[in-house]
Amino acid sequence: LHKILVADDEHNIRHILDFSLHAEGFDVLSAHNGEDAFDLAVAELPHLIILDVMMPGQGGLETCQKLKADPRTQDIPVILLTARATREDRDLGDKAGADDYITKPFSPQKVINTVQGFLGVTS
Amino acid sequence: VLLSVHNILAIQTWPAVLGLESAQVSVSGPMVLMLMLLTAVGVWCASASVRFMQNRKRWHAERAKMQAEHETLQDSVQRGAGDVVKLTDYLAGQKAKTEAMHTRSRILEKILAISPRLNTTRNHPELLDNIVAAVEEIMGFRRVVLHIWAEQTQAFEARAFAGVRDEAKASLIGIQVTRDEYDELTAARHRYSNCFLLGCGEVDDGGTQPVARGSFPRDWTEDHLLIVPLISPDGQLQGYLSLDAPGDGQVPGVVEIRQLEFLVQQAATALESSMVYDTLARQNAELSMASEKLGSLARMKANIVSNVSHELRTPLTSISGYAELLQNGIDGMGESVRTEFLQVIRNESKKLSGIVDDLIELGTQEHGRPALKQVNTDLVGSCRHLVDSWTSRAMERNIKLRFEPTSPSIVMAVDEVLIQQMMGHLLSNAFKFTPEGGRVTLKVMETGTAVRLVVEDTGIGIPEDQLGVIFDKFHQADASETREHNGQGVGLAICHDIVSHHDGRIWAENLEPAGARLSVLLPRRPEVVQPVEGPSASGFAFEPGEFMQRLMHWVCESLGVERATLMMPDPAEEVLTIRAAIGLPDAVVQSTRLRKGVGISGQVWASRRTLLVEDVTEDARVDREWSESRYSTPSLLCVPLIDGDDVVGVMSVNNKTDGLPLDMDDRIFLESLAPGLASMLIRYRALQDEAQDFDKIRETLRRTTAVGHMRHESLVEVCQEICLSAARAVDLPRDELEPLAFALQFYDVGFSCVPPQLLNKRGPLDGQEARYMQKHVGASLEILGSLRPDPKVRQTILYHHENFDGTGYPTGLAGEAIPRASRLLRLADALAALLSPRPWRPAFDLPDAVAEIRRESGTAFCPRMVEVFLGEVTERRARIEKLQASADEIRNLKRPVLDTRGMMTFNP
Repeated sequence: LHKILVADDEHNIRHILDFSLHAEGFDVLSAHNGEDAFDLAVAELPHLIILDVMMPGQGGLETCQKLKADPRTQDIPVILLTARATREDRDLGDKAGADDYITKPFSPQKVINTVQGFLGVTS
Repeated sequence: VLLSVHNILAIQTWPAVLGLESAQVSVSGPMVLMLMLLTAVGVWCASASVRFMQNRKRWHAERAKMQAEHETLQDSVQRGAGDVVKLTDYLAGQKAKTEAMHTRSRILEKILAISPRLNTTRNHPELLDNIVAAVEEIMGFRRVVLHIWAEQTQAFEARAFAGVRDEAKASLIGIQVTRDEYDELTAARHRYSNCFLLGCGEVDDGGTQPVARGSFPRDWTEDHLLIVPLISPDGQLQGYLSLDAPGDGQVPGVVEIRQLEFLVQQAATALESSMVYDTLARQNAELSMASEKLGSLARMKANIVSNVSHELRTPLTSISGYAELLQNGIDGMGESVRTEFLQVIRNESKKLSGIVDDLIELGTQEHGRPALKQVNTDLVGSCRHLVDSWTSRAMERNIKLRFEPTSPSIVMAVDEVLIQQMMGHLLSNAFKFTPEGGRVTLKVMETGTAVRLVVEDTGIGIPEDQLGVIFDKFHQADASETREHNGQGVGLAICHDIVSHHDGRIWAENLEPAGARLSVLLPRRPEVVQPVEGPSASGFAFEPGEFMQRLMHWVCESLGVERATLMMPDPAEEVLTIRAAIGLPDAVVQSTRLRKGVGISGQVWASRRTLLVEDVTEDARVDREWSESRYSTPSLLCVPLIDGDDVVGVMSVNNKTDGLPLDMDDRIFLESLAPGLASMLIRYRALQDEAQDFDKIRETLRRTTAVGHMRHESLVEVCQEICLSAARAVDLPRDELEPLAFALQFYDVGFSCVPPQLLNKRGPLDGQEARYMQKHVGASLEILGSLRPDPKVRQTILYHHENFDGTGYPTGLAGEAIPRASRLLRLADALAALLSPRPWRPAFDLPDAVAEIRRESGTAFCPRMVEVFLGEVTERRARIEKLQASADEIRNLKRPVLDTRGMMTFNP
């Protein structure tokens, strides 16, 4: 059973992701800010992490950077969720070490496909 | 022998011949023969002597005649010599005269040569130096100091020097001469033309009249100082030159004084232009500052757009996400889950539309905020009005709304509209987070250097970790969990922006036991400095026509003529018209039109050559009809003013005051002036064009104004007149009166931004429509701001919908806090509206309109102003009633319609 960590300050978005991933048989952990996400990642070592870029306090980029800098979590794929989708934002994400990008608004199915692609599973 | 002797003697002198003859007779002896012979000889002698005597008599006469002729000749030679002396003297006199004339024209040439240099110098200090240098160089004064009126100190200050040692300069710079001191300085001094010679005692008449040149001393002493005033083209005393140590050691004569004044007049004109230029430069600087602000606003906008896109995408993500989940119909999704998802979608949609509303509001703010418009504002009054407008909402939600100012009035220069918006957001924010039964308090506090605005609530407070970020991120305190309040925190970001534009600070803190406090600290700024009163404050510094008139006076004085006429070609009609004249009746000035080649000036225009006519009645070039007219004079001088290939004007003078005909001297003088006059004409023509452009803009604006409600132009004009009379009656200061006059013309130009459907709507306006309508005030200010960025005008218009009891808009100022000009404008606006028909009602009769205004005295209008205003109305009752009754006028009402392009046009 693959463990997925979802971090977003929006309750609804967490809910959509939780609901969709759950339906595909993933185990979903959720956090509503960057700090909690990092702690949870270190503690639970999920197979994949989805981070919202714009979160109060420590944002997605910063959290991603920290995760990639930490030997315990550096190999976990990180997908960034963002409302900003400019070239610059993508570059910033790449710099932070993100593995993929999903722009809001997103299709839950597309998220599932991406996650499955990373984990090498098919439905 | 005798004959030969006689012949010889004839050329000798007679007395010697006689003596010799008588000696010969006495020596001849008694011999008969000898006697006979002698007798014969004697007879012959006697006869000869008779003949001789006869001849002698004739010779005597001839001699006398010759002598007389000789004397005559000598006389005439002497007389001739006298004539030669006279002639020499005359020639010497002529030569001196010519030389003086040459000196005069050389100096004039120099003055004219320097004049373009003066006129092209835009840099103020450099110009002042040039003026001083020109006076020193051309007029030969070794010490020259230029004093200029300084608005800041309200005194004359020494600004430019020539021939003054540095230490003397330093002490001169510190001296400020007030206007009174100047008047005292020049009072009762020897005055010639406009100049004063100090240091030679006082005169009896107090210096008001020029003293005779003869009473001036000839030699310059150390006590002497010549004061030459600098009078701007519109008659203002701009400053003065003090001159000392003339090169020739003599007090300047008439001609020198005239030249000096001519030079100084050039300088004054240049100074005036440079001041206009300065004003322009300052306005440019303001403009670029404004555009800089605009740039920073644009950056802020970009930032907001980026942040807002996040805010938009979040609910969008939820909506599309849940919708997709529902569509996919994930297995095991029960009815309750579906309902829940649908509910979320609905909530998020609502949120989305809330954000869109916010964005629209933001867009409007952006649109209406090209730069900070700081006006002295009573923050207490402004906040009180805001609190009032929130009272009903507070009651609905059972929240206590309190207002606690520390003093009755705190006035500060702020952009009032922005500050109101900001306080509105803060109140709205507090209400959002305060549960029913809670309390919201608005405090206005004054400290020494700042004003603090505080909004406190008893709500849920702000999570500690977000206290620092709520203003720069669009997150509300409960962002992470229950979002029961809509709104996306755009408001707080806007608050932050507004505060930082006022160089202030905004921060948040939590209160014990519950609630939050948002504080704004606005550093105290000096109250808005009113623009200086002066010629350049009103835009155009002087009227070209007035300048011309002064110039003509100067020409008249210099040439000693009673009449001077300046004609300029009118390009449209190819005729000469009189642009300025001295000594001609207005009717002649207005009616005279000369085609090329017709009349004296027309001939000069065509031939481009000076015409000097000594006697018009005998000169074939002069139109007979004209020479017999009332305005004819025996002699006249007419000079073309040429610039390049163009004849830009024709100057003619006649009627010398001393009764002599105009001569070559005068011709040379006027011709030497011509190039300078021509270049001046060109400059002033350009200035006039500019003034006309300005008038065109005014007219366009006026027409735009008429787009609003239908206007009865004459009635509106009477209302404006009443308003201005009332303003004078209450002693409104000049610096408010003029802005009021301007405001009266354009105050409702903003109506052009209100859709005509709304303007002409029958029946009452709903809340939104009324708000839309109220926006015309802001629109007026925006339009006028670009035309005339005068805080007084702005203030007058901003408050002209404020009610005396504080129930008006946009700020709810009340009573005496409303500027008097605005209170008067409110009355003029009301009267004009009452007297004009509206789509939903006919026009009021004057008595009804007056009764209506009286009824609202104390509520809408200031009672004191109402009394004065209605007094002025009464004085014009007959006129107003006549205007109202005039059916023609009513038919001529201008009714705005939309043409095919959707533009406003007028149909009579």
